[in-house]
Amino acid sequence: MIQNAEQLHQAEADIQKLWSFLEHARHTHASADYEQLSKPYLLQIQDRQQEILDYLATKPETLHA
Amino acid sequence: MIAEVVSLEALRERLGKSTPRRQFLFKRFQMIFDLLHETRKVKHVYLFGSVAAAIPSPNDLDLLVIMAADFTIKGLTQKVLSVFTHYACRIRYNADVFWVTEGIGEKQIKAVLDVFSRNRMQEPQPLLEVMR
Repeated sequence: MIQNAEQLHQAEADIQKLWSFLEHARHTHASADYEQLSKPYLLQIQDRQQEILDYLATKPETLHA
Repeated sequence: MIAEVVSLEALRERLGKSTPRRQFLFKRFQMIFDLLHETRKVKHVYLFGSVAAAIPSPNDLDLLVIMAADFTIKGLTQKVLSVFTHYACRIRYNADVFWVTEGIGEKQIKAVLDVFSRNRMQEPQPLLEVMR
């Protein structure tokens, strides 16, 4: 679960790395191989995107003195 | 990111004995490991996630498997193919096997190792390379 901006930015960077990884795999593997190997990475991207959406969907109350 | 290299036996001693759940998952890991090596195309097997961490009852196995550049799933037996088929592998072995061939290039492999070397809280997590 993402709890702060630093974790948010790292999660975004990780998703970008996984996207890039799949783009390269799509070029370097045969279709049948790519279709099988991509599944867990795509689910991983989906999970991480959901965590980002969950974080961005709420804003904790700010305490004022 | 540098992975710690461990033998299968050292892995069993260290992470595969302490609880029934760990014993169960280690057996599944050993089955996957043997099936992967039946292909004679395995280059690296990395273990990460809750099993590699000191959690008494891990949920499942997380593996990153690097195969030789000329590896293909074409022609594999059904049993070996199940390791490379996401849903079959989850059901049979309680494992998420992330795999790719060396053909993707070292830069991309390093990038994905970096992603898997941190947990969802972005804290460093153990990454073990398991050798025979």
